[in-house]
Amino acid sequence: MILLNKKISFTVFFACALIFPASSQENLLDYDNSLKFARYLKSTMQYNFAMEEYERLNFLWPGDTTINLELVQTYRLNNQCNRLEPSFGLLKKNIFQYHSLKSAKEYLAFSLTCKAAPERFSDISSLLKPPERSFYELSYFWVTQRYDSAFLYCRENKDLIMANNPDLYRLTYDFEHEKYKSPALAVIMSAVIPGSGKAYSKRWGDALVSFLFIGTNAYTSYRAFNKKGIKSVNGWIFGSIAFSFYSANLWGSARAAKTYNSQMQKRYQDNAENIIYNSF
Amino acid sequence: MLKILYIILFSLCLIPTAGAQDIHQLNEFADEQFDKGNYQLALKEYQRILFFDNQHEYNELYSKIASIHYLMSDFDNALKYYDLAIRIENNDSIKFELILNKALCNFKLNRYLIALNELFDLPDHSSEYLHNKKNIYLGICYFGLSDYDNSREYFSELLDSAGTKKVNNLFADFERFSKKFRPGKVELMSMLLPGLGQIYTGEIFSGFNSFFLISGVTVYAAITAVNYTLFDGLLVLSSWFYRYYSGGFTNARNFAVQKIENEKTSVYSEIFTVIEKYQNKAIE
Repeated sequence: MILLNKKISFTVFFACALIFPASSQENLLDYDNSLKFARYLKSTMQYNFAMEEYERLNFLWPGDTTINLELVQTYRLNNQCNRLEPSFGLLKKNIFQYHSLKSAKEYLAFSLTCKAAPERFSDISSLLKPPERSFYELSYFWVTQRYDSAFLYCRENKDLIMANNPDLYRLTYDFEHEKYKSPALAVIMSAVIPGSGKAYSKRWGDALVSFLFIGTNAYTSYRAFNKKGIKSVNGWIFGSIAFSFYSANLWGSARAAKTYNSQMQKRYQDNAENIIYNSF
Repeated sequence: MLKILYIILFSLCLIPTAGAQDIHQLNEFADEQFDKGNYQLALKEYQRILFFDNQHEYNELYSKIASIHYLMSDFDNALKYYDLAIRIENNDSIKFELILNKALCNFKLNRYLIALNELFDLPDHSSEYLHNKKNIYLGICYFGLSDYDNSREYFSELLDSAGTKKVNNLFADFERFSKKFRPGKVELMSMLLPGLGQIYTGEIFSGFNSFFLISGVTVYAAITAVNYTLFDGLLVLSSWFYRYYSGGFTNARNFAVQKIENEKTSVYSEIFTVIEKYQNKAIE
């Protein structure tokens, strides 16, 4: 009996000698350490590595709400728009069961980043408080370039948006009241004075070159016809050159007006996206 | 009963170690990935080690991470990690090598002046190998900055008399070449006779194109001036001549600049061929 007790004691002692040192070695791949490292990778903008780390955590601890949220956030920061749909699957429980506004906003932010128009956008945005909801909904119209809807929404929710998102409100208001250049007017102006249609679209250098080029060739042609009548070869040559450049100038003036309009639209769009994405 | 106790206790010994990866094991794993060329994976695991290395036992990993970034052509991050490695390194020789590696990164980014600045801060080293390597890098810096006299001086220090003569000839030939195709001279040639500068630099088609175009416009302007008035002739000339004339000599200048750049690259590799062949001091 005594011998048996000695054996048991020795065995327990030996086992403890093994267990405690082994368990005191830090496991760098456990939950806490992996999460810390994943957050470090995200903060240093190494999003590909962070994604791998979060995906490993999600695999080992599926259903963990913190991991799900941070994984979706990493997808968004890494512009992984093909993961938008699976992200909804990850956050669905957080949003609808645990009423996590953070998760709701993260999914909305991801949709806006991908410029996607998922059907559930308004369902999820309706869970938010009015000031935040108005921001996301107006942003939705901006990123999907539904400008008329954006203008209407801005007018209907003027006080709310002006109070909570004055920059976006001001931008939407200015864009609604911005004057576009008319291609038809540009053509008419260039028909009367070559180059003036381009000046109307603020292409001053092009306007001057067009005017001088067409002017000098037309004048050369005029002088030639004036001296030798319709038999003047110079008159026909320079007249043809002047006419072809005049026609091209009409087309160029219309194009200049259209380019002006699309550049102006792009400027507003870029500014809006800056405001929207900097708020996430 | 004892048997069951043994089994339970033995299992308890295994549980803490199963699936655990401590810092040493990770380091071995990362080293293995680095040796296999799986740089992305090695990079991530080295960063993990450094993140958890509270005892600062793995400081040498900064230079490893810098090497990985260099191998992946991410020279800005390579510079950042070489800087960190230099700051914590106590060994002078290793520090010296790290600064030389930094200079190499700056060469890749064409930042020769920055590289030169850092190399000048390096003290003279007792090791011939490191001293010679520094001289090569100084030569490269000056060459990159087009200061060929200083460049020649540093390269020549590495060579015996035959090698020095070869290098001197290379530099002399390059100087003659640069004078022959001086951009200002080529531009002037095209100003005096349209197309001449382009033909001189070997761009035959462009030269003849320029010549016939401008000649054609000039001749037609002259005919117009004769048949009509001088003013009419000038009107014909004005809208076309300036555009093609100025375009022609600008092209000629650009061709000359490109020709010299190409020759510079060729001379640069020839110099290194000479260094490898004629070095009288050991360079590994």
